[in-house]
This record gives sequence, C-alpha cells and structure tokens, in this order.
Amino acid sequence: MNTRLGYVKATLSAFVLIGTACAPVAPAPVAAPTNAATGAGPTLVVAPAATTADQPKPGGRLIVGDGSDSKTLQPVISTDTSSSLVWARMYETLIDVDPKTGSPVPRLAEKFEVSPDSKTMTFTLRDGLQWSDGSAFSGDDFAFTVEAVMRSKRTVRKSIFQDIIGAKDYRDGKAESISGIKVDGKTITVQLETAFCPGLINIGGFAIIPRSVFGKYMDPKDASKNIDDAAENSAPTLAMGPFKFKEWVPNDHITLVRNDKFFGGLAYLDEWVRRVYPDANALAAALKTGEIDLGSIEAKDFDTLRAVTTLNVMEYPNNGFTYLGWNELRGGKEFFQNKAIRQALAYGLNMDLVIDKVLFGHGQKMVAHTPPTSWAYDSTGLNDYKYDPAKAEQLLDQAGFAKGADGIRQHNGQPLEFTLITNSGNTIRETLIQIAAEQYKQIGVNVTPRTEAFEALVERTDHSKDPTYGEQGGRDVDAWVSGWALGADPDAYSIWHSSQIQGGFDDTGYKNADVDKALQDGRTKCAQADRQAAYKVLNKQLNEDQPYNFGYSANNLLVASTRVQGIEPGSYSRFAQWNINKWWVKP
Amino acid sequence: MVVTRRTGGGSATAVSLVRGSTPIRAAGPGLWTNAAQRLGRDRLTLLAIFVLLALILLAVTADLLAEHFFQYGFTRQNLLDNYRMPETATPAFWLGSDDLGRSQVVRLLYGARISLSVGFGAALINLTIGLALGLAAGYFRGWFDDLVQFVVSTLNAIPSLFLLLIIAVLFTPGPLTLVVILGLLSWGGVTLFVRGQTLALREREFVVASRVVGGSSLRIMFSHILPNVMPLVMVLSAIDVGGLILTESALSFLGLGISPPTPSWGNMLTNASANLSRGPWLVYGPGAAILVTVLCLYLIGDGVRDALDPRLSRS
Amino acid sequence: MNRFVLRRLLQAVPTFFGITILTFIIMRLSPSDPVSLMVAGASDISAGDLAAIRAAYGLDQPLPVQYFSWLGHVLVGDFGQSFLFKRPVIQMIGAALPNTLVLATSALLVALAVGVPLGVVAARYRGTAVDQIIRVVGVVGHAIPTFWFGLLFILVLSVDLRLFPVGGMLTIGKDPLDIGDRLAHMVGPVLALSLGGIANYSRYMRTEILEVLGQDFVRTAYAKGLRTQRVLFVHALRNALLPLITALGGLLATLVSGAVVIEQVFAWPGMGRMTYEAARSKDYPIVMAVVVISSALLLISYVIRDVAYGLADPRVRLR
Repeated sequence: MNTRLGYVKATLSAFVLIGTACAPVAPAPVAAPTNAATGAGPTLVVAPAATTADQPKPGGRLIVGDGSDSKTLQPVISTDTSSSLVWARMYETLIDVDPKTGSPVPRLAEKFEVSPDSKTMTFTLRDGLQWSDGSAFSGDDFAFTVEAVMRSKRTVRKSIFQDIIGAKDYRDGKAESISGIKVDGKTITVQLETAFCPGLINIGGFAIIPRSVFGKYMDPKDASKNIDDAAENSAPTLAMGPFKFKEWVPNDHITLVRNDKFFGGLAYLDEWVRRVYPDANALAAALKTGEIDLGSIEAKDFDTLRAVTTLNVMEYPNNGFTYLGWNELRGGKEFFQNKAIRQALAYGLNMDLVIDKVLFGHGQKMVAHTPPTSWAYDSTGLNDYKYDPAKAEQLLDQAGFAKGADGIRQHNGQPLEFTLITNSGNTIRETLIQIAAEQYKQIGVNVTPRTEAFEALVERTDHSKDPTYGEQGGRDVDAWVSGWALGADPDAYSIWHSSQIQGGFDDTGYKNADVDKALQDGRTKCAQADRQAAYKVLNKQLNEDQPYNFGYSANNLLVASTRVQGIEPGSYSRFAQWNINKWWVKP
Repeated sequence: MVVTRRTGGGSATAVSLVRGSTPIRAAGPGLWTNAAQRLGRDRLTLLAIFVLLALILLAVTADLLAEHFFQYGFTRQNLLDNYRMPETATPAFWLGSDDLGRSQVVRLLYGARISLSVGFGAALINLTIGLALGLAAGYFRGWFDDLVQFVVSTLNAIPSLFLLLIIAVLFTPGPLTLVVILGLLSWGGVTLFVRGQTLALREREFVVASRVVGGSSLRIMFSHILPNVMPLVMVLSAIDVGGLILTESALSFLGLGISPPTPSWGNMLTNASANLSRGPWLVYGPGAAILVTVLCLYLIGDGVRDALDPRLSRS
Repeated sequence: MNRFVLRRLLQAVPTFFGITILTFIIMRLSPSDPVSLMVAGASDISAGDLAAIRAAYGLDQPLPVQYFSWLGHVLVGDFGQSFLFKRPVIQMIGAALPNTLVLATSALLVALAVGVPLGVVAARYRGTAVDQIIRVVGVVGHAIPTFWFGLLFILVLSVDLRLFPVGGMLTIGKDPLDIGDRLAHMVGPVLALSLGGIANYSRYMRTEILEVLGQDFVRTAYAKGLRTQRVLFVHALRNALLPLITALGGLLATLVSGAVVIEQVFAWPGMGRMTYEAARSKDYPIVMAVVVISSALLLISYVIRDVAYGLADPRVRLR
C-alpha cells in the first residue's frame, strides 16, 4: 500500500532526472542505392582552416565512421558504398576524376586519349608501377579485371565493358581472352564496338585487381569459372592503393595499413580504420567524443556539430538526388501515364519548404535529371514547378479527376489514390513521404505512406513484376521515394532509355522517343558541346514529362576532427578520400 | 517472469488458519469478495487502476478530443511551425510539435490507442490460447499434453525477438497483423502456468468430487478449474501487456513496428530520438506514457496478486 | 539422476527439430527472393543468369529437399556460406556469437548479483523507505525501453561526461587484451541489458522470500529463537532460490534477443545485429544458423536448469 506509493513518487522524480539529462546529439544518413562519385559546382564548401605553419607529419591513424559494414572488398562484385569506401583505398584505377569538376585526370595512366570516333581509348601507364608485394603492375592486370567482370555471375558492372570488342564472346566462353584489349608494354588500347562516350571514365575509372592473385580462380577455356567465391574478396592480399589490407573484424571494423609501394606518394597515415556505427545518434556521439575522426551527418545535426570546437563541418554539393517515382506500368494506377497528373504532383508538393524545414536549407530543388554540380547541367528553359496547389488542382480537374464528397478525386470510378513507399531507417525519406501524403491530400490525391526494409524496396523496384504489366516490365509498386548516387559521367541511359524498362533501371516504365535519341546521342557523340546539347534536350523533356517528381539534391555534410589535415572535399569524391595519401593527423 | 502461485479454494476458514488471530467465521464470503475487499483498501493499486482506465478512456475518445478540444488532427502538419516548444496557451501544443509541426499531445492520444490495443490485443490472444491449451493439456494429459509441451518448448527455445524480427522483416506487418503475430508468439508462458495449475487442481477434492458425481470434463474445466486459475493468469497478463508495449517500441526502433504516420508510442519515441538535437522535449510524452502505463500494469498486477493471496496481505 | 538427465536431453531433441522446421518455413514463406536481392542493381542479369545462381545455391529444389539437405549439413556442422558475404556462416557466427554471449552472460550475472540482494533487502525491510526505493528502481528499470536507456547512457555518460566510450568493443589502437578498456566498453551495453533482469529478480526474490517467510517451517525457526538474519539467509533464501533457477532459463532467452537493440545502439558486433541485417537481406544461411544455434544453446541451458532443479529438489526428479 503505502510502500507502493513510494513507487510512484520516486518514479516521477527518476523520470524527471532522466528527462533533464537530455543533450543534443546528431544522427547520420543511411546509404544511397549504388556506388558513385559526387559533383562539384558552386562553392558551398566550409573547408577546414589550413594552418600553413604545420608540416605534414607521418604517423597516426584515421578512424572513419560509417553506418553499415562492407559486404565485400572485391570491386568486381561490390554494389554498395559501404564496401567501396574501403576497397577504393586499396585498388587503383587507370584514370581518376577531378573531385570538383568530374573531368578525367591521370592516375595509374599518365596519359590517356580517345580517338575522334570515340571507339578507341589509349592509356599509357607510368613507369615502375608495383603491387604492394613488389611485383610489377602491368596492363595485363587491367585486361584481367575486365575478364573477371565479364565472367562474374554476381557483378552489376557488365554494362560498362560489354561494348568492348570480344567482351561478349569472352563472357559466353567463345574466346579465351578479350580481343578488344591490347597490352603493349606501357600502352593499353581498348577498342569498342560502338562509340561510347562514358567509356573513358567508366572503363578507365574501374578499380583494377591483380591477375597474380585472382587468376587462379579463372580458366580462359571455362566460362563458368569466376572469382565470385575467392577468399581474397574478403581479405585482399595485394594492393595498389595508398593502403593495404590488415584485418576485418566483421560488423566492427576494418583496418588498413600504409602501402609502402604506393606510386602516388606514400601516405602519411600509418593506419586507416573504418568503424561501424549502425545508430546515427551513436555515430554523431562518436564524432563528438573523438572516437572517430571522420563521418557523414544529417542536415538536422549540422548546427549542433558545427558548434563543437573540435570538429570541422564541411558542406558541398551532391552528385545525386532524392526523388518520388511514379510507376506508369501499374495495374489500377494508369493515371500515372497522364503527364498532367504527374505535373500536378510536381506543382502540388512544396519542395522548397521540405528543403527548408527537413533539410534545414542544406539542399537544392531538382526538376530534371542532371544535378547542378555536373558540367552537363543547364537550367535554361526548365520549368521550376514552383509550389502552386491551385495550378495542380486545375490540372487534375482538366484531366477529368473531379473531387468527390470525401475530398478525393476520381475519374470513372477510379479514385486518385496510391501507396508511396520508401525504406525504413532513413528518417528524411520517412518524413518526406508523410509530408507528401499530407500535401497531396490538400489537392485531392489520397496517398498512403509506407516503409519497408531497404533491401526489400530495392528488390521491388528492380525485379518485381506488376500483376497486369509485369510482362512489359512493370514493377510491383505504385510510387516510391528513393535516390540516385550518380557517376562522374552524365550518361543516364540505364535510367531513362526505354530499353531499360525490362531488366534495367527505368523502373517507372517511362518511354519517350526524343529522350531515347538524346540518350543515344549523349553516349555516342563525344565532343563536349555535343554532349551538352544532348543532355539539354534530355533534361528539357524530362522536366516537361515529370516521370519522377525530381525532388531535391541534398548537400553532402562531412564532419572531421580538427586534428585531421589535408581534407579537400569535392562532389566527385566520396568522403573526400581522393587525396587520402596527403592527409595527416596532428598529434 | 512472475512466479507460480498456489491459489486456495478460498474460504474464510482457510484465511483464519494462516493468520491465526482472526476469529473463525462461519460460511463467510468467498475468494473474490475477500479479494475485492482487500483491493478496496489498497489505495495505490486503486490509483493505478484509475490511471490506466483514464488512459484507456483518453485513447478511446481520441477522435472526439482531437476534433473538439484540441482542434488538430493527428496527421495535420505545419512545416512552418515545426519543433514548437511546449506551451500552455494552445491546447494542441501542450507538448509542443514535432519535426513536421504535428501536435505531440494529439498524436500521443492516438498513439495510446495503437500501443494499448497492441498490448492488450496481443495479451488477450496470449490469454485465450494459453487458457485453452493449458486447461486442456493439464486436464486431459496424455498425448495432447505432450504435444502442447513440445510446441511450447519449441517456441520458448527460440529467442522471441529473433523470431519476431525475422517475421517483421520478411512480411512488413501492419498494426493488426502485428497484434496477431505478437499474440501467436508469446502464449507459451501462460500455457505452461495454466497447465501447471490445472494439474494441481484436478486432484483437489472438489474436482474429484465433481468427477465422481458425473460432471462432464468441459464443465469441470470451466466452472471449477478456470475460476481458480483466472485470477493469477490475469496478473500474468497484466505484466504481459507491459512487455508487449515495450516489444513494440523495440521493433519501432529497428524500423519494423507500426509505420508512420500512424503514431504509436514506440515510433514516436524513435522519432523523438532521431530529433534529439532539435527537439529534446519530444521524448517526454511517449517516454512518460510508456513508463506510466507499464508502472500501472505492474502495480495492478502486484495489487491483484496481493489481494488474492491471503498469506501476503498486510494491514 | 543420470536417467533424469538423459530423459531431459532426449526430450530436447524433438524440440530442436521443431525449431528448425519452424524457422525454415517462416523464411521460405516470405515473399521476396534472396537471389534477386543478391543481384539487386544488376541491369544486365538475364533470367538464365538468375536461374543459374538459384541452382548454384540449391534454391530451385523442392522445399523438403532443401530442408533435409540443409539439415544434413547442419548435423555435421556445416552451416553453408552466407549469400551476401560469401564466407562460411560458421566463421561469421564464430566471430559474433562470443560477443553476444559475453554481453548476455555479464548481464545475467549483474542482474543476479544486483537483483537478488536487492530483493532480499527489500523483503527484509519490507514497508520501509528502502523497500520502496528498491521496488521503484526495479519497475523503472523494467519499463524503460532499452534503446532509450542506451541512447541516454551514451548522451550523458559518454558524450557529456566522457566517462565511457560510445560504442564498439574496444578502442582502436589499444591492446586487445587491455581488460580495462574492454570493461569500459561493456559497461553501457551490460547495464542496459541487465536493467530488466535486475527489476525481475529483485521483485521475484522479494516475493519469494516473503512467501517463504510466511510458511510454517520459518515460523518454527522463529519459535526456536533464531535471529531474523539467520532465518532469512539459511532457510528462506535457500528455498526461495529454487524457483529462481526456473527463471534463469527464461532470462537467457530474453537477453539473447534483447541484445539486438543494444547491439544496434552501442555498435556491438554481436549475433543480434548480424541476424537483423541477414533477415533484411534474406541471407537464409545466416538466419537459419543463428536461430538454430541460439535455440540449441537455450535448450541446453533449459536442460541444465532442469537438472539443477532436479538436484536441488528431489520431488521434481520423480515426475
């Protein structure tokens, strides 16, 4: 009786005590679907103040925090950024891209050129390149890498190489090597069947693996053998990059150590470690306490972390965007095929408000495919779809969808309603679907927001089949929110070309002849001016048709300890790692 | 977990034998009346019952309150007015507003609806299955008993959260499905308890007498054994409800519970955790709600058990 | 005694099979397909490629065949390879399981070491302020969602007060055998995990002792003139401990599964997190292996518990 009164009294006081202990903390974002590079653009960078008095000192360790563990350390089969963050420190590429502009720059190849017909690429390797064990690096390793990709069953990168002459034959076991790749001393020549403008960056920028290690898993005569199960996929024995593999404690951390044979200037850091913090609040807390030195954060914690004196917060544009996708090949939701409806869905969502209130201003509205950071970006003539619910309602009325008694529009008995799905665990996307549902309700569209696990969402948008339109490539989803982390090359073929509806990334089922042509042109006519013109056409059409509500491009927010020196962020280098060998830590 | 208790058939005679100082009364009131009397004197438990009923009332009338008193729907957003601090002026913002400018207090009410239904709903399913299977297994014994024990030990041996997690990830359940799944996964404890009680009770004189007289099994189970088992089973269930509400919040944290915008205390707490840097006050509502509810359930469980068990009663 | 043990072990065997079948069915009932998830993002995988992959993993066989094939491997200790990581599941579990066990066992020990004495004290000083406080602390500990407590712990004790690290099992760069460092990393997770146990055990012990104190033989002891202390510890405690053993088994189960949330918050690389992510990616081999292994462990702990109970209380053995 009165003993239990004590329950209540002390409980309340305990709770107040606990409650007042609240302190601000910052979460961190969750992954984007595919690997990528991020873009340059107008300078938004809040870079760390360089102190010229300090000289780089060798030694020390850098600890990077990420939200999930890597799945593999094999570039050929890697599909996620948590994996590439690590293997990209160990494997090198023929060329790299400038972190701020995205244009190709030499890396392992000191010279590179593309023939006028864009079908032949020539790379000239530097002298004296060595793997971490001292063995020579040669163009043959590059050739091997392409072979490994073509025969791998788990890779998602075949589309990069399949236009090389002989690649498909090799894949099918009809040849014992790829005839289109010729290695002659320091010169590598790659010949394509057709002109392929993104080829230089995509082919030249692919991480190269050593034949000496992985060759034993392959057999030139046997197309069924591949490197997919190699033990060295999780424990690389050779490296070309500034660091080499030391240990992988699953779900905890991966440790890399300095590679003394790195061609680009030995790294100052002794060790590079990546730790996993699945909870965003914990990751931010780890940044604050110095438990990790580098990490990415969400917009809502920008201000809190900026106030921490031991941290530098850097903001720079993102080469990617978050969008709402409308499935035009959806049984029962054929209204998505109506351009007016999709445009209404653009006018009817106040994206500027979302950016202001949810991203706290750290982002930019998108109305077409190419983000502002890209050289292919051109906003002239584009409709910016300024928030205009009246116009949205007008478009919907004109489309024949009149408001019913319950406020929801309908046409011939088909109500204007759908489910909007995104992946759980991404707080910004979860918030976005709730905002969208609410705002669309105002214009008479009934939206049901739902979340599901990321993997399930990816599967739904990539491989599922709509009961009615499955044969044509329709996916089993009404509408969804997802994002693209784009590559350095502006080519958007796999997302918007009509051939990509079946088995590609054109998940909306969008089809437009002008877009198809522009995409083809962009891929085959490789002069900069031509490509720019092609992408202008592409974006104009996409802007008009709104197969997506193109949402926003959220800025990258990178946080580093003030002890870390040498960081130069750029949209085309994830976590600013492009010059990791030049980083050093103040003791 | 709650310990098993022996229940008495309950008569004043039995009570007095233990306490020793009470004069023997003839043909006095039975177990329930005694219990009710004791309960009536237990002010804290009464308070807990009152609070819980108040919460339930609030949950049930959430619609009315939202419309007439707060004048704010639970999905109504106002992005221009987000992260509003608690204030006394506007009822809708007594607990402030969240990252979308929604009324925290209104959402808390609707959250009560969801969380309490999940808790009570699943506990009810547990209770029903547990009683039915436990009674049958304990009474009939034999192969059926063995089968039930086998199934229960199978379920008990799998870490429940794992199972729940796997199911939730694979099937992304909505609120109703969640209730069913939660209910179907945790009836083991109740079953075993009821079974144990039934096994003991079936040998008691009044049951044996009933069988001798020719009472049907069903009748014996329902009119003799069940009433004796019920009280403590309900105590178990009270604790159960608390546990289920906490499980729901754990699932929400993992992104597997009730999907927003439908508010549950669990997903409100998770959302508040994500917004800690901008709106620290947002955690008070759902946190306190969960705490108070589980506390009340505990108190009620304790109180009812104390009231029913004469040897533990205190003045 | 031996027969009793043997009987209990034998009884566990069908349960074990029941668990495997149940898990297998649940995994296979789910709508999506691990192969699609494996190649998610691949824009050029043909239906033939998918079929080949499926065949390579034996996923094209009828379900019973898959089940028995898997079971056969399990019984010789081969849990297969993770679909996603392409590493032997045994290896991955071997890395993660000890971490979870360390947490669970420590939490169990802490719960016992703190909960039992608290319960005894509360029973001894029943009705006083001490009793009140202990019972309140107990309930509050139980009613706080574990992830919330974990988060608060990090915010207050790790970030504000810098008393403990934020996450992980050890500090990078320190000697892995640095016990002090390891213990520091364990405080947060173990505390969060043991809260519920402390609450349970203190309530439990309090109730048990009060009940035992009310029994005849205790009154006899008092009548004999023994002091409260002696009565309490020698007679009451021993009898009250018996049902405690029963509760142990249940707690281990709760701990192993409750660890999922704690592991998430404190970045502890244990089985809980591994299972969660494996379930999300439909990595069947890992999920099945985790459920089987943790269930087996639990079954063993139940058997041990029953045996201990049987040893302590002869009446049980005869049943």
